[in-house]
Amino acid sequence: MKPFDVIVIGGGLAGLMAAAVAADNGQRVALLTYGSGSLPLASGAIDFLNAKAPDVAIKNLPAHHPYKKIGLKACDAAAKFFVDIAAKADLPYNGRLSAQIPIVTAVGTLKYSALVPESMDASNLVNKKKIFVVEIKGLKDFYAAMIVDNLKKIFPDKTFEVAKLDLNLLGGRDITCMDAAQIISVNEQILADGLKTLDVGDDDAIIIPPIFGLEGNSSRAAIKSQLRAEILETTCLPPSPTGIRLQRAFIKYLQSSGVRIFENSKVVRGVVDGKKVTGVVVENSVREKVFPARKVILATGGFYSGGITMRDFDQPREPIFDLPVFFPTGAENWSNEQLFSDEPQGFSMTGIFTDESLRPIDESGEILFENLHVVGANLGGSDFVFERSAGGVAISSAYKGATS
Amino acid sequence: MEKATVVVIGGGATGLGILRDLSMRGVKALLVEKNDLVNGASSRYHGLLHSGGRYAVKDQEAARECIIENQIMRKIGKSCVEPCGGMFTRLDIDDEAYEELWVKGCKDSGIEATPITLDEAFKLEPRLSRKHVKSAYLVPDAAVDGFRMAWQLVDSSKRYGGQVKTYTEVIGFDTVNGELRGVKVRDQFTGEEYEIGCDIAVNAAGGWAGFVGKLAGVEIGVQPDKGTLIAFNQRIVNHVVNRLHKSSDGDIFVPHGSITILGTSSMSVPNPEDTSTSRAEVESLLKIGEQTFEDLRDFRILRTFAGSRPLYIPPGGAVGRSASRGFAIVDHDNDGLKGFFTIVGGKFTTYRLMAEKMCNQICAKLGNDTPCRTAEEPLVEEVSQEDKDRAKKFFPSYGVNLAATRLGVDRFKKVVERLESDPESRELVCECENVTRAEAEEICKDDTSFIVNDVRRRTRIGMGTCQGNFCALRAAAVFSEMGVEPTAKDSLARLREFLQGRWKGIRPVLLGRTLRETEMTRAIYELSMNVKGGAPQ
Amino acid sequence: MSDKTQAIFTGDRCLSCTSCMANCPVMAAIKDYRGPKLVGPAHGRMHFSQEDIEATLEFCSNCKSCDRACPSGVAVSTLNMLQRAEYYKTHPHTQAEDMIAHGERAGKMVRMMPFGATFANIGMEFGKTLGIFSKLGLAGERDMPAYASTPFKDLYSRIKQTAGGKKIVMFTGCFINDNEPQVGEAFVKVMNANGYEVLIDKGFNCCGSPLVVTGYLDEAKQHADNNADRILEWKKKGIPVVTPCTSCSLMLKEEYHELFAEHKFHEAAENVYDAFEFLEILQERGEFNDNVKPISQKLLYHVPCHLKCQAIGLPAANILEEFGANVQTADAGCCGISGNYGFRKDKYDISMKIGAKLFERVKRKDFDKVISDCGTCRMQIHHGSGIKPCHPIEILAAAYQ
Repeated sequence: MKPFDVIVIGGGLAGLMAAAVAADNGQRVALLTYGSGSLPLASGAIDFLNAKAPDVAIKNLPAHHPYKKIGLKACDAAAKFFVDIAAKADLPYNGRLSAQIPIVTAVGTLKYSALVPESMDASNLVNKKKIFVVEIKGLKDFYAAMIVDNLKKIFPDKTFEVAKLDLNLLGGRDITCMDAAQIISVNEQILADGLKTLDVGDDDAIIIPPIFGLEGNSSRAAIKSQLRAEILETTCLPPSPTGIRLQRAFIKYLQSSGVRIFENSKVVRGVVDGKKVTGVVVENSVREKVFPARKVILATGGFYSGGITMRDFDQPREPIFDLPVFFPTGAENWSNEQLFSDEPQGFSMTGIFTDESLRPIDESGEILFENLHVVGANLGGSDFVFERSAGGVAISSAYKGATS
Repeated sequence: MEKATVVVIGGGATGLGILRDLSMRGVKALLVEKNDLVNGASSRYHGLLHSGGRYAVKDQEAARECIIENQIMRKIGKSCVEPCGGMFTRLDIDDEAYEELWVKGCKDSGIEATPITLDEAFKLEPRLSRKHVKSAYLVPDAAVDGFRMAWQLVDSSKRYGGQVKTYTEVIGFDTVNGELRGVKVRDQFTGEEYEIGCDIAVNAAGGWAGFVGKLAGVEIGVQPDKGTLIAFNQRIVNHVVNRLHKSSDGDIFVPHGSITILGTSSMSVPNPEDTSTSRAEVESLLKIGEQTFEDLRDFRILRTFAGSRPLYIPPGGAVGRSASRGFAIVDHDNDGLKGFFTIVGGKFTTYRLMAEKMCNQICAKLGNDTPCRTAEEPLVEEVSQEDKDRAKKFFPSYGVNLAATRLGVDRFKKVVERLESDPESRELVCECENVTRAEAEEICKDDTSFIVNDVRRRTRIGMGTCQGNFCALRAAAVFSEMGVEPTAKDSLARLREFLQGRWKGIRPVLLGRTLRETEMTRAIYELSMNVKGGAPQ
Repeated sequence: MSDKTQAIFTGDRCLSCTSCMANCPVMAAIKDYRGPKLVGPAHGRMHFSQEDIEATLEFCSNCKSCDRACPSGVAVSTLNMLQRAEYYKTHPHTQAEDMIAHGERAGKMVRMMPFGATFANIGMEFGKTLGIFSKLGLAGERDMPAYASTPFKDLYSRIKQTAGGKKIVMFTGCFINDNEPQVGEAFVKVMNANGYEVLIDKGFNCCGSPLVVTGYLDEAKQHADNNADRILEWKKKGIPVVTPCTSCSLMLKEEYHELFAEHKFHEAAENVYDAFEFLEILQERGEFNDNVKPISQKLLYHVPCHLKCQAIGLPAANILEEFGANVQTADAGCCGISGNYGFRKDKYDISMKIGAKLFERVKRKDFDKVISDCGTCRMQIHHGSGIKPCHPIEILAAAYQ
């Protein structure tokens, strides 16, 4: 096999983004994935930080924070690149790093993100007179009454109405948002016709589960053009159509730019020559296969995705290159008493420390491999969930890693 | 004023057994429980219906009681007992001489212990350590579902007029001239305090028996002895697998529905409320457990939990594992309080016998000579095949038997009717344990369901692989629609509280795949749902 | 690799994340199938109630998209197949199931008669026209794979092999033997060109894949035992077993071990290679014969699902590209036929719905040739688009002078 310019390990948001950036720079790229990545579980919105102005807050982070290595410049460039890729797949995103956009969640709270699919952008909700929350007969996981109960606490002065549409989904398995989105992608009109039966004024808004198809914006556009009120999608339990749309947008871009995607390819170690990685080894059922590379981007994720594993207490491992993993020791520092805590969770801070090019370093700060870059959730030093930065760190570290 | 002839304090197996026994003898009885039912040791244990093999050397009286009650429970509790059988295995590091004693002890206690070859043992239990296991016997152990049994006891009691009040805490006693007149209680949700008049009160509060005694001004020697257990995601074993050695920590594996429970440790604690578990306890259990099952650490741990055995300590008695597993009945007439009894100690397997003995004394006082029938009459009727077949049309067949035994005849019928008439009620709220929306709604409506966790204990929602990742939202939503005020409406609080309940048992085992599952929990509920609410500051 | 890859051990790794559901082509096509997670892994946890069977298990096509989507290494589809075998312990097979599972047997019968292939093909033509297939429960819309006039194993003896010295054993697979012997010829030519004499072991059975997916697990086990024993014999002699059929190679390399949980299957698997996997290893060792005419074709490559599972990269694409071919992957998902799945009358529509995206892609005709390593994928593409694909080894064979 001819060596690839760049091999990206991991098919989550960080891996897809890194592969896209590298391909965009004219490099011959291979993406090795194991499992479908975590985007189908995600909302598709990109959180940068839990602050009114994420860009300002990023500047004030402590030095060990991944954002400090990435730098605001790369964050900005990543955001722009990201929105462009999505737009190329007809998936419009709104937002910028200096502000937050609200999204209605499946439980009726608002969640805030810097970059948000246009279909979820609830910025104007505050100006609406009446809000219709529409559930769909037979669609699981969307509970309009609960959403209204909780939204009323945020918007006590607004009028809410629960409506229920029958789109003929019943008669088979439990229908998830993804299933409904699939059905609607081949027959948008059933949803358009259903929504038209609502007594909605121009100043009203309709909140629906995320069912505007699984690719791009075409289903939404077809339905939107027939209605005057604003229609907003919520987040949902996985599998999440809004995350899947983003995943498909990236894969489409990678395919069109000649990136080779190798599925089911579990990388077990690197091929190393001194401080240089010359390839990676994929293990299959009976033998190993070497994929040679000039540069490797490690986007294997954190604990969830297996980028960091921990079979025994106090022994987290990065299983491919056996990189040093930073982690808080001892049971008392590992987790907080509350699941939804007011402090970061120790276990979630676990990860790899890097230099400013996102190359892994050891305790003394020495760079371990010159052409290996660590991006996404396997970076250590912060709790991406607690600080609401998972998506932002993923895309900006990917951008930095791919351009370094 | 509300009145009953007997107020039973404590909704564990013993209290519920007494409630049922009294009700069947025609005594008007009411049970109060400060939390949900079986919130203490009656569900926080390994779910083992002892054959008695474990006591065959140390305490043959207990062993004999066990085997008799074991046989009775299999007969009357078909819907909560899984007759999986048990195996005792001696490892290379265990004392061979003990094996001889044990075989003899079983014989003397009337417990059938059948020696099997190692080949047979490995065939029956493929995951046993081929390196360490040296001999094996089959015994008539079984698994019993403490949750299911509790509500079946309630159902049975209710048929005979028994009453249950959960989340009703005893705060004092009304006595006149050393004679009990009533029990003072507080509603945990509304804070309302009131009195329930009675002739007799039974303190069956288990680990809390000492506190209840204090309220009545009597001293009761009860030592809460905390046992920690680990629940694994799958059935690692097909039988109850016991170590054939002197009883010790971490030497029992019980297949329990879809999971396996490994237990237990033994540690004296000052407070029965202490159900905390620690990494150190987990480590020590795993270390012992992997002697029997070498690959133990490769199996997914769901969570840990702990409960306190209420060990009865007679003045000057031993504590800890060497304390007696026997039980005691105290008539506080001798302490100058007429009409107040305490029953304490014992073990889950013999709860019925304990209840029978307690009720015999109560009935003697009441002049009621109706004989005990709890050993003959099944707890609940069995769900008919016809109803099961109706249900099979609508939800996965592998959930039907489970739902039937969880729900019992009447509720199951209602659920099936709902499934037939409303297609939307067929969706699974909990996909890991196969709980339909119809079943969840039925239990949400029940008068003992105040929070989602109460629904969980009845249905197993949230007790499977995903530990609430998918069902928490669904359960909170269904509960907010069907549940009682004032708790139901605050769906976000219910949801967080439900996941926090899961978190408590996950924290000490936050490694491996359990950790991965938790990362998913946080991604869904913090990132996608923002269940904490609030906006960026 | 350890025995932990056996399917029975992998169910415990499921996190219930729904990745398998998000990537299941059958779920996307129909509402009836409850989805991989709720069949294999869920049943695994509930195995204490054996009497029960998940009713929608029949919809799984064993395409293994779920296995590839799984972030935890659960052998989802194999768990499904094990459940299916349980089902057939208490339920009879239909005539159609018997037929589609036993292609090897039918092939042998055909060969025993004079002009058997011709008559069988005419018979199938009639069968299709008269609606007999449909009555049997087969997809009447579809042509059954036509029997070649001479099966590959007979054709093979007439091939004059030029290479000496190094040897491989070819596992022909039923489809190549009975229906597309030209692929076998191309295979021999390529291996000869690389200095390998190709041996045939007539003692091999069908790999068993059609048996497994139709619930004949005991029969499949007999095939597996026989094949593995023979492979181990060849292993002892230092002669690798190579197959140009990706479903066969997956079965031999991976599924035996997953399904039957015996270590010998793993040992046998170590001696099995997919054709291009083998060639790429030669190439990496510098032993590949690159005296190849430049391939100037533009090729659309439908990568079979069962190749994607194998984690061997895309060796056919790499090698053909090396010699000038412009290889574009179709990236249009599963073709839908999944072995014998699409031949069932009640699964035909599902199979065509799944394949629709691929057919659309192929119909764009912006290439010289469609290639795919899998025989039934090629049939499905031909059926759905009217364009006949070939095996990549045929392209390479033609490029050797």
